[in-house]
Amino acid sequence: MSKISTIFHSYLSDNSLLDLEKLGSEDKKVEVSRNTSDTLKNNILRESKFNNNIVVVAIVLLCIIFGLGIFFAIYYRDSPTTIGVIFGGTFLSLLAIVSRLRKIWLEKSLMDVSLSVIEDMSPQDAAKFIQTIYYNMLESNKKR
Amino acid sequence: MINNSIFTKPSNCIFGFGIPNSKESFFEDQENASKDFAKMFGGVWSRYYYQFIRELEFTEPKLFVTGLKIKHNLTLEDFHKMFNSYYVVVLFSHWKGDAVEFSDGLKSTSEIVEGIPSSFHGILDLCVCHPDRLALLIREKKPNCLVRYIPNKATPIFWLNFYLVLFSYLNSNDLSYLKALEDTIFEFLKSKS
Repeated sequence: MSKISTIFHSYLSDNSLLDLEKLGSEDKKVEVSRNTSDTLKNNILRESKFNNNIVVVAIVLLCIIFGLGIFFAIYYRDSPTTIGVIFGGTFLSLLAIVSRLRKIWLEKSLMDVSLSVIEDMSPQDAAKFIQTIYYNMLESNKKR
Repeated sequence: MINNSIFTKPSNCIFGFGIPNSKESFFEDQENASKDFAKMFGGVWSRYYYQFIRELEFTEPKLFVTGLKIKHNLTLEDFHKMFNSYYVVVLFSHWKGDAVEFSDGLKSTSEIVEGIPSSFHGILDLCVCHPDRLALLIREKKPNCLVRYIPNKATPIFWLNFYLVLFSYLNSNDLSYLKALEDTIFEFLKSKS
């Protein structure tokens, strides 16, 4: 489970919005308090800042690996086997970092969008919005 | 009297959904004062989809394979017509107060009972959760109609799987509906304990 879905899960769980509805259940009005909405915003904000830091670290790491790759490629220019190993290693490391970075980036975008949208919404509407995203995330995770 | 020794095949049964089965009907029901089930999901289609429709999309093709007839967007009129052609009628819907939800709104027990033909000598299986009053009224007014229901509250996902097992069992064995129902309940209780 990604960080953002964990945050959404605990928010929806606190507001009893993850309960499975039964045939014949009595009508229940779920009131989402301003308090839980604020907690959600704070949690997203905190996670978003943490992700920003990871993005910076990953980009720095990306540059260092790229730089080292170039340096060793020039340094071992007379040894084609070593250059092959260096390029292979650099490529694989970059691939791993870029794929992780992509996931963080997607999560960060979702956090930013969620924050900006729920900022101007009533707690009830915000709950609807978060539920829509959360259940769609569950669905798309199942399809993968 | 219902003859318990008659073999029932899914092709002699019909399964009707009184609760919405599509995105359009889900949203229409949000605005409809005489609807209730869709509103329990707070107008969030993805939640409804995850908790019901997804499972329906999975089980429905398997139910079709057994030969069972399925009717969506069941109105009260459709429900009453079913008794003319089928031996077993299963109503899959939501119960609220003293009414059952149909595609054309919540209908009172008396309206439901009135339209059941007195000549119907079959089984009405109510999958609507605690429909005690409706069952009592049917037994009183339509003595030829045998009413079955399980007085437990459960999720639509549970019931869909329950009926999938029941109709698959009926399809592959020569059994009466009541015997198959009894065996299925027994197996579910066994797996629960």
